[in-house]
Amino acid sequence: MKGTHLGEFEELVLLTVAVLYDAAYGVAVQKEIQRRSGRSVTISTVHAALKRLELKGYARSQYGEATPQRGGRRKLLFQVTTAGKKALDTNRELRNNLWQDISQIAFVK
Amino acid sequence: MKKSPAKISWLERIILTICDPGMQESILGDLQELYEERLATKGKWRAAWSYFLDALGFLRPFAWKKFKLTITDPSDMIKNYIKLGYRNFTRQKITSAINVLGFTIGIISCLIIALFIVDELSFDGFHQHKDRIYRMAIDIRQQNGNISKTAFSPAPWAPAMTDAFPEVEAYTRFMRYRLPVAIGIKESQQQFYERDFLWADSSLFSMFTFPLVEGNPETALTQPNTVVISQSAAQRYFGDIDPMGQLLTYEGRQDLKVTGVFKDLPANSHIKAELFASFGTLNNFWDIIDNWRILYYYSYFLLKEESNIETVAAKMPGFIDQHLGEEGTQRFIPQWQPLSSIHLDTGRDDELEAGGNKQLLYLFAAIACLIFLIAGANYTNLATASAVRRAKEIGIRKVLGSRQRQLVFQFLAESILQMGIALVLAVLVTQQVLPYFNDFTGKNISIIPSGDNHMLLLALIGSGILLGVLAGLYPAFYLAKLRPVHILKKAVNGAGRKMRSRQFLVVFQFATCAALIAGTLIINHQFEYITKKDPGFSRDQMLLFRLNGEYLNNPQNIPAFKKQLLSEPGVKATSISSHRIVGDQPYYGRYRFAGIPGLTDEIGMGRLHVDEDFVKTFDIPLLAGRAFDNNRITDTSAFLINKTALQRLGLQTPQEAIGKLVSYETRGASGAYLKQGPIIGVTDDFHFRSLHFQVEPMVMDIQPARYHFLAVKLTGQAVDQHIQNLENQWQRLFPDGLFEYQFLDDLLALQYTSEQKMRTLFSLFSFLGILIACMGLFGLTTFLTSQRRKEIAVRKILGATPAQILTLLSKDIFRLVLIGLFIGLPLTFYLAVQWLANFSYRIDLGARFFLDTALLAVLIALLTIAAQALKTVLASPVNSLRQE
Repeated sequence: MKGTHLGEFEELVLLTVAVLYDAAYGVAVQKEIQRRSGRSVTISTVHAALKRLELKGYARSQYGEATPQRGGRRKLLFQVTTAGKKALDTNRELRNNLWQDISQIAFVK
Repeated sequence: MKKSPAKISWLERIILTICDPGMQESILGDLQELYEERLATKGKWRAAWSYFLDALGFLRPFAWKKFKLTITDPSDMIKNYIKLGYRNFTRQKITSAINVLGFTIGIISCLIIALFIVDELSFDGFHQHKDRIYRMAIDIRQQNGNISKTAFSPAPWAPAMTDAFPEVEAYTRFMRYRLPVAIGIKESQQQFYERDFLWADSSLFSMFTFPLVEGNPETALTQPNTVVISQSAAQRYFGDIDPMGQLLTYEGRQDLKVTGVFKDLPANSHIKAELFASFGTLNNFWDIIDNWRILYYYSYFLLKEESNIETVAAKMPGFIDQHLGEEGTQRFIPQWQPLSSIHLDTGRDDELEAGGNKQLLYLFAAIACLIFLIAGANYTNLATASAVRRAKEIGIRKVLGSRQRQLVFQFLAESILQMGIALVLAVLVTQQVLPYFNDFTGKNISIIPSGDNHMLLLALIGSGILLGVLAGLYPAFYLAKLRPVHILKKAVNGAGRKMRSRQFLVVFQFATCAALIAGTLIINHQFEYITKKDPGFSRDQMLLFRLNGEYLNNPQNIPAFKKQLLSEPGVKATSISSHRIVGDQPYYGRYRFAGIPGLTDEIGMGRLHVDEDFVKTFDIPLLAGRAFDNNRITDTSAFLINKTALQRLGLQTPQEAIGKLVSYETRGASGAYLKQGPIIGVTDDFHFRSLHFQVEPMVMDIQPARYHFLAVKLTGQAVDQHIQNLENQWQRLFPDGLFEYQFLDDLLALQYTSEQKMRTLFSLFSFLGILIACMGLFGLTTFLTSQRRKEIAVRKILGATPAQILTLLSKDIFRLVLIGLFIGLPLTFYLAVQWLANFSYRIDLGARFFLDTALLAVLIALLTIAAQALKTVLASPVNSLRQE
């Protein structure tokens, strides 16, 4: 297994998966990221990140129903697992703690 | 359901092959979705382009298929492969024998040639400073604009260059007299003729890596009158006595003190020497050593570490201009040869050793590869043809769950097994054959690696596996791809009797065979031609002797000596000359001719000093005038010229030349003088040099001081007896002299040793190549006819004649043979023209050769096919039909 660290991009992807809830598949994640952050990432990069998240146990996937779109191919839908939720929480907590300890003077104008 | 456009569907296929099956659908779906969206907004081309880029992104490891080896214990399977390989091997004896034999011969050829090439490339690689040593050779631009290349350079250049050019660290010059020299041992009065006697500068041992066993490498050759000898020469001369400080005599006139003993030079050194004598000694008697224009020496230069040869080369024109003026820069064009390239650098005259031939190396490497390819083609052909026989086996295996990959491995294992057997056989045979090959090529090649170097063994095993895989690749995939349903329902008939690949391979084999046959014919004819062509002089029962030093010092004894010889029974005629009439380095003089209109300059012509009996002894036809005459004292200052010289002078008829005055500067016993006299006769051309060269203009005169060789013509009968008589006489006349002679015929043949070797090798390899191809053809016919046994039986019953059936069976293959001929022959023609260009006198490449080749190839093919086909044709139909 690839360790448990949640990278910056992985975190972004995992959050997006959570946002999209039951419609989180490759293209949808790519577009959501594009829409919210303005980052244009290639589809394969998204797939690679999703794959990594799955290997780390932060996400799981299953194929959805077949539709006439996409050449009749099913979407591979992703969900955040409990471990994923925990990893997101840890990251968020770390940030919050840091924010709390910062005094306003620290930001040099 | 919308499909992605056809033009990008190949990308889908790639993804399907490479990517993890669990992800494929998702990947393709996402790609498709993006594509369709872009198709609507951005247009077809940009959508397709984006699709392409996106798809490329998935060719990354994260998306790859995960290979999991499902085999629990591969050793069982490998055992199984080997067992099956063995069974198949023994079941199909003929096919297996053809394959193994073919591969064995192919590997032997490749192995021997490879060892040979490695040896050739290793020449002079043992010198420590090899990267910094260069030889200066000279291209001479003749007055008529022609360039002649020599390995020689003038003696004074090297020291002057080393003084003038800061890039040069040191130089070494060599000089070797054109004839073997007589070396005597002062103490025991014994005499030896030495071919490998070199005069060398004292820098020799610091520049070249020739280790000394005794003596000081720095000082051994600094003094004049010193010599360093090889260990084997020391053994030969002195036995167990310490050679250091002993005295040798050079040609009976110069004492040399032994100041060192060097280890015998390696066989792969282009410098061959038994003795190195100090160059400074030459000042004692070699009075042309200061001449800036005489090319007779070899100059080697050691450059300083950081210098490069281009800088030196760029300074040469200025250097030559400074010492020899404008005319010199025009005439002498220095060429720089890196030390390790000298051996294979062909096309220079006067080399220190015979040298290798790069083109021949390439040629033989190509032939060895071709032989191997022919064997490989056999394997492929026979394996695919036997598909019928294997079809059921393959079908059952597939049905029982064999994967295609496993089948491929199985077939590859079979070909590797056969290759392995062939490899072992080849190594064993090569070991037996190498001594003969070494004998033949004068090399010392061994297949057993020197020291503990196992590279060769590893390379052999590695290449065995690699070759096995390569040979088996196509048949393996072909066989493994057969579909079980088709196979099990009805046998694959002949596995496609008209299979393209098989046709292609047979064409290839016969194109190669045609080329080999034609090449053999052409080489043999040219060889016959050059060895049988009339050289322009009488060559039979002619003995040549080298006159030894003692005799040379008293030329006034000549007439008495000749008379004595002539009194021997069996001696028909004798003549003494400066050169042997064949196989000697040509000498040139610069002649001035008076009384010929439009001719004022000196002309460089070949130069030969002969006695009065020369023309008579060698039976050279006279075109005009007369030969030298014993009774006319004035003939000592007269001249003979040959026909080519006549043409060079621009004269129409031989008669015109008679009486014209010739003069040139020469050296006699008493120093330089101008020799002048009339032309008294014109001889027909004779080949002083080999037929590689045009006959050169030649001027002959009488000059006893320069005589070196004696020719004795014997009468026809009892030659051995006559030689015995001569020897007795010789011993009486020269008690210390060696009785050594050569037959003129042998000398003539010696000129073409390299052609002789090439002829033998080429014929041998051709034979092997054709043999393998025929074996393959034999196997193929055996197989194809056995497939059609029933058909043939039925045809016979219905009244077909054997001839008709034979035609039927051989028609297809014949067409392929003919196509092969048409491809192979033009190629050979092209190569043959290039090879023949080496000879000034050569055969015409008429249509005859190619007709002969075609005829021979067809005949060989016919015999091969007929041998097997006839058996089937003549068999009683009952036997074929009764089987079921």
